[in-house]
Amino acid sequence: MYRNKNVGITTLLCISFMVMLTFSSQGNAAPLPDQSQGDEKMIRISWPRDMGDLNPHLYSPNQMFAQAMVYEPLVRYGIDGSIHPHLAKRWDISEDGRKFTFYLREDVEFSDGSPFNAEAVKMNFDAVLNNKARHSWMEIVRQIDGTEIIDEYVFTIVFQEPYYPALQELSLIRPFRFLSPAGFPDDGDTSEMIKKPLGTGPWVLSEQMSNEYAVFERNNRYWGEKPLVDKVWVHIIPDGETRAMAFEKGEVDMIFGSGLISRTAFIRLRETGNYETAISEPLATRFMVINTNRFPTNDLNVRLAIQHALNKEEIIGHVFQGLELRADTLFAENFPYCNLGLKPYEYDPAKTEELLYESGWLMDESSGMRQKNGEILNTDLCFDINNEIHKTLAEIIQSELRKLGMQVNLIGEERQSYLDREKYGSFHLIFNNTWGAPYDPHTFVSSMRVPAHADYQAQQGLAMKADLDRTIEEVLLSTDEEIRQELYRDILSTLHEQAVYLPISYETNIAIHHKNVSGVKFATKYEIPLSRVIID
Amino acid sequence: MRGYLLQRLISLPLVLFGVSIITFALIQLVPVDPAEVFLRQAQVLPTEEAVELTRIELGLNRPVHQQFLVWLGGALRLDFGKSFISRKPAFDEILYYFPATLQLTAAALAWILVISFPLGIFGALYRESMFDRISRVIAYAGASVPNFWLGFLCIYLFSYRLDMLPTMGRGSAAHLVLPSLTLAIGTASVYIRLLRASMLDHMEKDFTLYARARGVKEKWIIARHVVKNALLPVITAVGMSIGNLLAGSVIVENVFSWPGVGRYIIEAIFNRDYPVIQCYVLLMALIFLGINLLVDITYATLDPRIRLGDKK
Repeated sequence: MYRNKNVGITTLLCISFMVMLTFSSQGNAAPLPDQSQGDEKMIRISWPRDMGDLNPHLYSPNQMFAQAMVYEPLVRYGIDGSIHPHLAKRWDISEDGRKFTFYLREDVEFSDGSPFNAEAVKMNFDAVLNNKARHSWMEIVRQIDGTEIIDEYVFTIVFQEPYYPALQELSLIRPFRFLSPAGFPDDGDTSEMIKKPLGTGPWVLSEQMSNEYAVFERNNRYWGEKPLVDKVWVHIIPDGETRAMAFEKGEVDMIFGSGLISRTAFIRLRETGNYETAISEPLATRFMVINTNRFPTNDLNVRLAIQHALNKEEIIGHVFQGLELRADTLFAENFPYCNLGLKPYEYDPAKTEELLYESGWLMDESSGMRQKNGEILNTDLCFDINNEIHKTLAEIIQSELRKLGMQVNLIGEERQSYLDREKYGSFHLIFNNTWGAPYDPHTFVSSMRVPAHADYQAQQGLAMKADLDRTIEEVLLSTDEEIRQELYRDILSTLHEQAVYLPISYETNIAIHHKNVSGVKFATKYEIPLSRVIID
Repeated sequence: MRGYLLQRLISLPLVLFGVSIITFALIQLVPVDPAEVFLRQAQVLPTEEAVELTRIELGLNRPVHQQFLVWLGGALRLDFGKSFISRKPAFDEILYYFPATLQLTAAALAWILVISFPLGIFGALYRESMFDRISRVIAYAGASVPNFWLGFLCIYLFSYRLDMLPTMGRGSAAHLVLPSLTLAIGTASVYIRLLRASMLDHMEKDFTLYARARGVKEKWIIARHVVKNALLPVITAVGMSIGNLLAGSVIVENVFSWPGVGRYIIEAIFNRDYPVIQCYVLLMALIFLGINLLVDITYATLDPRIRLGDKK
């Protein structure tokens, strides 16, 4: 009987422990957001990753769209590439192009009530410049010579040289946006963490549970047009299929961005006719880099042969099903300085054969492969194995090139190994993307000079690489619009003629929402403009 | 029993030490320098100079044995270093996400018992009946269906079609139902088979026959002799599967957006976040060891023939 009692007690204990565990951690979890909470209007969106601490001066794991909701720049980037006043109501540039004077708005305060003035601006610039190494990828950080408070609402930045993309780079989501002095750590160093994410933007982060959700409320102190809904609830949903089902069930009001749901899911949802959908204008370019520094793609004819070998129209139709448009140039023509009328490489298998024949790559009928001096025409196409688009594109390209006698080895690796290949140039062909507005074309072109990039590695075999780098430096420091345009023409047409890039498609953002949501518009690739969104 | 417990407790630090060394060594074999990953995450160009500076900052410039000793010194004080990515203490980060996974595992375990015990036991008692056949089909199907697919099916059916439960997230008991059930099905299916086989085996044993000969009621024989003995191997297996459930919840966490440690650790692995990986492996090893010990003790409590560590 004693033993029976023992067993009974053990079992009871085990069961109560499990019940306790099962329900123990419910306390800290918030109730589910229900859209109809009284008169409060709330829009629920979803995002695959946690927002991070929302430090305006740092990068990952902070999510750009969320940083852009809370923090604002001195100047804003327009869709057409023009620069508009924002926290600075106007600015002057000295004659030598080195000194920028910003006249700040006087009606702005941070969401905690602290005033936004030249002192706060200086404090933020100092925090960023004290952490220079981390921002060294941006030319502007290298170019800033000093900053100064002229009076309460006037602030100057002095550059070492006249740096034309300064305004574009000041409009970026990070790092030159402004944290309230109350959000700074006591030592003023934001390079590790901040005290609280307080900005001047239309939204305030009011609640956050890591990897679960984040809630943004309207900033009632906002100086501009206040958001039309009271709250934005961001569900963190890592999986695209779950996101699509949560949307259909009505737990999410809107899906906005790129790669958040599969293309098939988007098309299926669009075809039901129950939802509103939209696709943005081209926001960035998806392309394949061809390495000029490795045999056999060091031969211009081989690179040109690859350009003519792919039927892009068909590939894009198959892979993107109309969600992305065919790209023929590295940057879409709607980007500043990029409307150059470059002649696209058309699909022409006969031309491919001719070019390869010219270079001595002859078809070996028995193997169906082209050979030269007993060696097969062999290339490595490297891609991120977890990127579904990379994978599909790689398989199609492999089969298309094989038909013309070129062997393509697919090397799919996890992201960090793939990035390593970019850095060390250990590829013949590799997928990449431009960065979109406001980075394109200047920041992207600027990065071509840095050895850690695939572009730098892929261009190493060009006889004119040194000249190209000099021209890039020149264009960034040019002050004359016409000269700048000519320099861009020089850079972009050289890269086009040398067939270093095989542009595939223009990346777009998609938006899909329930019919009670309206006012959805696109901005840059990195933003979700929620201020004008209404939900009934 | 006391001697056995003491022996196990003494060996605990040794096992954990061994686990840390193995993890440390394995991590060194992973390609891609964590300093470079750190820089990429911070949007810094991984130039040779920047990589070198970061290696110094993260302590990766020292010889491996020194890195290990520094880490070990910290670990003894429960300081497992800072996450390379979030710059917060690795231990705190894991503890933040751990309760959600623990909750999911506990609920899954409850499902496992609720599903496998009745199906296994009654399947054996009514062998070859319709009930037995159905329970066998369930067991085969459950063991063969991959977790993620089952998860999506559950969401589609219970959440989207029938609108009974939420699709994702954590918040109320309703949120727990689908993820824990999905996590449980595979393991429960194995136990249905295991328990059924074990029951059938014990129903033919001599002591059962003897009990019948003594005229003991069949119900009593089943409850007192067969079920109790048949449960023993299942208990060992359940014990082992707690660790597997805890460590293997990542797919379910992803499908149901469950904010557990599985999702966090996968990201840490992709980001080469050594301090987090190291701390997690050690924690899991500790859990496995603890559960093993518990299983042994329960075993001894349930079966008087087992005398742990007693010398004959």
